[in-house]
Amino acid sequence: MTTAVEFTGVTVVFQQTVALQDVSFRLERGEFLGVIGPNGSGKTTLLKTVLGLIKPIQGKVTVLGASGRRIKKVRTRIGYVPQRRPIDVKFPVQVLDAVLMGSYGRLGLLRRPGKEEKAKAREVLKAVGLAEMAFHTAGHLSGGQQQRLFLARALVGEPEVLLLDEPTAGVDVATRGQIVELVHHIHRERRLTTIYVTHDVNEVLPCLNRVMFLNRTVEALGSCADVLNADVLARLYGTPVAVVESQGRKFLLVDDRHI
Amino acid sequence: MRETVVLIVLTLIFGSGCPRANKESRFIEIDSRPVVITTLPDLADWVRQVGGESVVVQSLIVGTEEPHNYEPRVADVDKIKKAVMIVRVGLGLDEWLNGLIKNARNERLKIVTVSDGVEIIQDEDVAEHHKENHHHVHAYGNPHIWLDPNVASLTVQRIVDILSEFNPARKDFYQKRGDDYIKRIDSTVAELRRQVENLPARKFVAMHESWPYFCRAFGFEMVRAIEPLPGQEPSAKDLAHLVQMIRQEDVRAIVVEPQHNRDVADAIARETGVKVVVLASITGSLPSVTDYLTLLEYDVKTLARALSGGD
Amino acid sequence: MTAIFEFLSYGFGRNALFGALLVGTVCSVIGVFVILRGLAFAGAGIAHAAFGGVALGFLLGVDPLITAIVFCVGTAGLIQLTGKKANLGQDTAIGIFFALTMALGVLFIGFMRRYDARLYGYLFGNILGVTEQSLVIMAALTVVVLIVTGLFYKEFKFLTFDEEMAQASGLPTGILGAIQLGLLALVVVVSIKAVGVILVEALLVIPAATAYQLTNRYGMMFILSWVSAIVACIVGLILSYLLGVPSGATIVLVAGLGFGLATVLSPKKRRCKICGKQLS
Repeated sequence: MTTAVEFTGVTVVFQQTVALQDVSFRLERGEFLGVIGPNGSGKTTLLKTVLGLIKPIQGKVTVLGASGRRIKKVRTRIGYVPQRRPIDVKFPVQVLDAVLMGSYGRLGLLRRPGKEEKAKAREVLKAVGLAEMAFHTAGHLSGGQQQRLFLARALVGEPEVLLLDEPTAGVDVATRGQIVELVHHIHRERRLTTIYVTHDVNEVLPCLNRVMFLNRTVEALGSCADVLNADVLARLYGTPVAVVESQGRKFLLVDDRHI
Repeated sequence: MRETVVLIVLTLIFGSGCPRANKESRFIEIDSRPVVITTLPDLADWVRQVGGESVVVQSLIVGTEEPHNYEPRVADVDKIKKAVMIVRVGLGLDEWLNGLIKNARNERLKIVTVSDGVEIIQDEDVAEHHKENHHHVHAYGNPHIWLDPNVASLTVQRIVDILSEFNPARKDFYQKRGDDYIKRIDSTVAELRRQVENLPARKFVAMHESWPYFCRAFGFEMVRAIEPLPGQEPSAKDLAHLVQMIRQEDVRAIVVEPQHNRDVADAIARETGVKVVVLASITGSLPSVTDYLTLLEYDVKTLARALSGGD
Repeated sequence: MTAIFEFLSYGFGRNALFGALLVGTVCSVIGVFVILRGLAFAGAGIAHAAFGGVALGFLLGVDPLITAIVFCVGTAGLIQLTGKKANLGQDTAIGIFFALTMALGVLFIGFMRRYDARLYGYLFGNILGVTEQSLVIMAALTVVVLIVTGLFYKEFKFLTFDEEMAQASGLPTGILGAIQLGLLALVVVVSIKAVGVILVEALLVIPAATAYQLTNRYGMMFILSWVSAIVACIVGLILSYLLGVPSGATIVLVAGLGFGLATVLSPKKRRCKICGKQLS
């Protein structure tokens, strides 16, 4: 079983609009798929459909070999870093505790998080650079720190698939780079099948496998070289794209308006 | 064609509602007997005893309600409109009647208030020995006067007089019936008093202050009411005092009425070993208590039995 | 403090204390979920549904606690359902059920010719009249609530903290939410006999809110909530005994005082000890 995620002709309606139309793709295990596209293009809906939180009205979704109702059962093997919603400042939960919640799915009903889970949690906290904040109230963390907390939470359950929804949104420039680095590092180390959704093209530039341009339908899906160049992007975004080279690195500047 | 069908249907609908001549002659015959309305079933019983079949008597309360806060129904105004006489208790017990009378706008309505001219017991008399209980339970005096058989007799005579006014031809009829009933009341009371005299213990506590006239008439003693005010639950302190007092004064029964919440009474019973007994202060509040004399008998006998240690 | 011994020398005193402790326990535990998930209004709605249920029981001549449980669980279920299909908004839906069930209660009372003061006893409760039999039922329900809460401790934690993520992680959030509301309904029914419809909500909210002021650890919330409820019950009962005032209300007022104190002295009011962040 090498296919991790497969969509066949999937159409999804969400909040009375067609969010995804006839989407098809196949993702192999260990692949890193970047998903880009303008605002409102259904990127978040895509991830939720992978998790089975939203059901398509047409087409088939298969995740880790499960489809339809059985997707619920494989959720414990998927790590999800949702779009950022700030944690209630006063909610009584500490960072370590919040991270541990990521292991609940795997533990199942009667087992409690034990030494093993706590050690794992400490480990991922270290990996995301939040080790000193372990006993802090989770709500006290800054935006970037909260993103890293969510990432740690997604990782603690030792997932086989990792889904990230704009993990750098609302985060300052310096931290943004850290998070992107971190995600790629983790992908390399653990060979996680990863879907990385972002609206900033540059974040998927250190791109490993494939990139998808999603605008309700799959308008482009291919290798980095094929998709991430000025001409193709200009056509997809419908606006001029400039390629800038600086300090040995490439930057794509897109006038990212809603198409 | 359609119009014909509609006509037929309408005729059938309205036709079925028309009064039929023979069997259901209620529609045509008019009942010319005077209508008397009372607030309590006991009062209705007295009127019936005097008037017999010559009057139509109805009580607004059937007995299972709480008379202090009875909620009148729309139909009650109608009943008062058709009545020639209303018999009420007064003393604040049936304040709710005032609104009904006003709305009924019945000029010829004669109102008889049982408490007029009666020697009223103020609740404070009862609590004289127990200075902590300063609450004035019933603002105009204790209104449960119908439980005093003397009041019943007095009222019966008044009813005789008024009904005779309406219908002078029946004067003798009413007087004889009234006298007979008063005799029955007297003999019942005498018999019951004898039973009470033989009792070794006569003290009880009651949920509500319904019993001063009853006690005066038959020789019982209500030491204290459990409710500080009607409907008000006693506090923990009140309960403790009650328990102490029951023990000190050798109280032998706890009286509740059918519409009361027994929980607190039961708690006191468990604490002191004294039994709870259910008495009726209004005819009709218990299924077996169907008229006034039965009420007196039931109450005295039941209470006597409890006080002498019976079930 | 001889007042305590005096009070406990009476059977009704001991029963009242035990009953209050049971009610305090279940309410303070479920109360943590109530305030963390913003269910206070739902709790009030369910409490008022209990009144409708009790009235129905009296009308039908059935044990009112049974009809109350049916009404409460039914209302809880409806609230859970409307939470999903948020056309109206859960707040509005609860407001409607709140009013409807109370109106039904009044209607049922109107149908009865018989006046029964016991029914109004459920509005205000009477902890002093609680019987041994009631205590047994209350104790059994307390055990059920504690076991279920313990069983689903981590699931409820996740559900309360972040419902969507809990679902994404594979937890059956629909069922868990329903169980939580079901527990809430049970707790309400157990408690109304003791403190009445009007005061149950207070016991659901105040002790947990007190704990919220004092700690940032989830587990600690349960402990502190329980402690403040128990203290309120004991102090409230004794105080009501000394002053000769209604017990249920005194318990609630003492709990309120506790909350006030906790707010004033709350460590959360000042800076976070670790990161120095000022909290508002």
